[in-house]
Amino acid sequence: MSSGEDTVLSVPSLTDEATAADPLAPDRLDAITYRLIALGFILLTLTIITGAAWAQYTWHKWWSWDPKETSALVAWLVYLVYLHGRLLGWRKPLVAWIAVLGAFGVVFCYAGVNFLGGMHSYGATTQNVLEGARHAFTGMQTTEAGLAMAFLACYLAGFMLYLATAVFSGVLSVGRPTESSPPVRNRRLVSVLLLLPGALPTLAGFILHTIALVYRSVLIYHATHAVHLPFSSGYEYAACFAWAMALVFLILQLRIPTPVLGAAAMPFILLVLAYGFLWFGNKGVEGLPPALQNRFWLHLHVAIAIVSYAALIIATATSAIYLVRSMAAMDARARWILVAWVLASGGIAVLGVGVAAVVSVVTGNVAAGVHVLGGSLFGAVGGFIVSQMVTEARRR
Amino acid sequence: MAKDTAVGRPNDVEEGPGSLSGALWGFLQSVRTTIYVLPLLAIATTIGAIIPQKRPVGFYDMAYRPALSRLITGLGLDSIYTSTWFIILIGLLLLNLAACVGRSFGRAARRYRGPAPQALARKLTGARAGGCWQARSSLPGLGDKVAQTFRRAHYAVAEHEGAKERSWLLVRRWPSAHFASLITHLAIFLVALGAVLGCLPWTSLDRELMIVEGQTHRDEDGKLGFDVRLDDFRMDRYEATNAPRDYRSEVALLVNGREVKRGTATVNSQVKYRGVALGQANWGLVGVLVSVTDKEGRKETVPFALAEAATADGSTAWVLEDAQRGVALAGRRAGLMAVDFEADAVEDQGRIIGSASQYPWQPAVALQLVTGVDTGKHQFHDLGWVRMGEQKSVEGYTVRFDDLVYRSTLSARRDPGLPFVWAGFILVSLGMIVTFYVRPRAFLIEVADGSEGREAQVRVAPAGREVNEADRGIIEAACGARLSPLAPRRARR
Repeated sequence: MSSGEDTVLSVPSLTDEATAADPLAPDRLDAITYRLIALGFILLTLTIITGAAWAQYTWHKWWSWDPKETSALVAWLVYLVYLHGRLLGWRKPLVAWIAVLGAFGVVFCYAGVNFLGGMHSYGATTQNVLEGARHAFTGMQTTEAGLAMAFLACYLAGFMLYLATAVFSGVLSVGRPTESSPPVRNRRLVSVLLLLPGALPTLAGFILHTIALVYRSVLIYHATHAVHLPFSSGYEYAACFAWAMALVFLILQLRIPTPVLGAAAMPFILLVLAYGFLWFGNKGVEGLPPALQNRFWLHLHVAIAIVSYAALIIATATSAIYLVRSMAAMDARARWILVAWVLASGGIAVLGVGVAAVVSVVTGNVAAGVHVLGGSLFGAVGGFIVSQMVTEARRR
Repeated sequence: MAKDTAVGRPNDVEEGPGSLSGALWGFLQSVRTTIYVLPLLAIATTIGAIIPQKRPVGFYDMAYRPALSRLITGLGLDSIYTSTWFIILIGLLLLNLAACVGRSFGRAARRYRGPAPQALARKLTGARAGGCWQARSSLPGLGDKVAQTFRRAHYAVAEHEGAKERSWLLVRRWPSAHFASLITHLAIFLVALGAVLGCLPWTSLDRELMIVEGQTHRDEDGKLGFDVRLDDFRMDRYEATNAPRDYRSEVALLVNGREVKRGTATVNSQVKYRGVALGQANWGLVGVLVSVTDKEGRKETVPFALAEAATADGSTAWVLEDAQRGVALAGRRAGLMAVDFEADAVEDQGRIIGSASQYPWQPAVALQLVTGVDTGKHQFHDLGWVRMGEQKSVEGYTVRFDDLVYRSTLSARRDPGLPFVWAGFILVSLGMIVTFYVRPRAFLIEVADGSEGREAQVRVAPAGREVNEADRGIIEAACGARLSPLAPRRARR
């Protein structure tokens, strides 16, 4: 290496000819994931830094090992491993699994603290999904609830249509050039046509979502005479986070114009919205509590945080597609090992569903069943990811 | 593909043959060490986030099963961040960082200076010309013109005498960016230094002062440098939702009994004096003040103490410390008893049935006046609920709920590490952005000026694999000619 011109850490550029040839080519997905993680990591660092500055301002201490601070640090450390792993030239599937694991860090940072307490936890939780469904729109004004229902319906339709078109187009084979591939111009047309059924409702949902958030800000102004974005309650935070994810996803859709990305990314958006609507009880407008009243730090910190989380979560979606695509290159033995792990993790998940059902029926406590279910699903997915990381690490 | 940056290259560690110090040095300056330490720190931090830290021992017995509680306290998982092994991990990471930074400094400096022009010139010859470009131009004084154009575009240009009457221009863009990764890593040390300065007991101060309204916190050990008197405490609320809007403590700072400063500490503004910042941290209710005026117009103020209690749903409630205790009034003829208290009284059909919240927005106290205390023939006169500011009369006595007495907890902090922490944070951010988004470039332009009807020739050799498109554009603009590849490039992926 004679110079420092091409460094791993400087973000690679993507060429348009590659997009036309195969928008889901593994190397390209890896590069896009890396770009998203680079952006998300810088913003996560700035989230921690602005959080520290705000904490100094309001709690008079820049670091107090509060669960939110420490969970952000955990996510930061995981992505630090990702970046240094790339630096060491680790196999790309291994770093892709680390990127998937990073989503756990982000989710832990975003939602975990609401289960742990500490200074960042949002109150007024419903504690169980059934009760949550009853209170999904409680406290909302009629127009706002209508807007919320509309954008939820659009996102759900978008996801289902993305999934349907992805399946229809032969899951992951469209866009992959073969010997009998039509010319590039036709392929572009086909890919756009396949994209539209999912993209149009998603875009409509995003516009309605934007209107709903602006409307919420107006309601906040009317109720509290304070001008600020809806960043104050757990529900508002979830709605903004989902909005940022939709924004990052839609921008990325321009670079990866296939419904597969939608099928992989939309579940994250829907999950965060489900969490926001079901977990938090009353969604009425509240004034900012004293600790959140500095609007400069509120907007700076929260805005950076949600964009950072959004970039990192969407990077998980691209990593997941990368991993599925890279499986094409697996040999038969590796494929069987993978199938065994999928079956083992699936077994744990199914067992969890069974135990949860028994616990719910025997104790009559649905919430306990939900906890068992959540724990076993978390364990199954987490265990699967770690098993794949170990497999990849041994393969080096 | 290139796999090295300013900080950290994995496999280039020179180990002494079998020497322990060599092995140790190799271990310390390896990025592999970093990668092993980071997940350990992540796991430790996750445990610290999940298990509440530094609570009293009884807390863990109540929150967890006995075996788990013993495990947590036994392994020190209740105070991870101050445990020896966590500090050793952090120390190891910092040592590793220092070794990597030290090792990378030379490389960053070399790259900053740029490659030797002779080395790049060799690229222009023969089969190695991949990535090189050339153009012909009839413009006079081409070398100077190209150099000037690049200088105007803020490139660093060094002129060298080339072989065979050719001039070489070594052009560099963003050469300082080679230090960005180094600076990012160094900045972590600044943050660590700031953190250490902020914890050392002889440089820093971090305590909470709980002061009751009207009382003074004495600076017993002299660390604070002043006494603090709490003159008043107030809470504001949002009228629409009854949620607290702000907490304010009016304080006076006293040195040797003399007032040196007055100020209001709120959640978002501190009172600062001699490097110590006093901020609003917590609040509480300590008592109810009730005044009694007898027939002769003699007024007496009676305090009743309040205590904090946990309700069934885990929230805080304020209750009378001793609900059955009466206070004898002056002259000992009568007494006053407080029997119940609600901070945020909720009324149902004219009767107070409980508190809507822990916040004292609608405080009310239920009182009884006892007469016949001097004669021993006690008579109880129920005054019912009395709201704050309200007065009721019975048997010639006028009873008024005057005020609540608050306690305020103020955080007193002196953190001499703060400037280092902020400087570190700024450098980390800037360094990271430059590392990821600014690509330093260097290339050699060889100019053979034309003479006697011969055209001038320009050839460009990149330090890396390719000459940036924007850089090529500048050369083309200066020459007034298109660049073309010098030799067919090797097939690329």
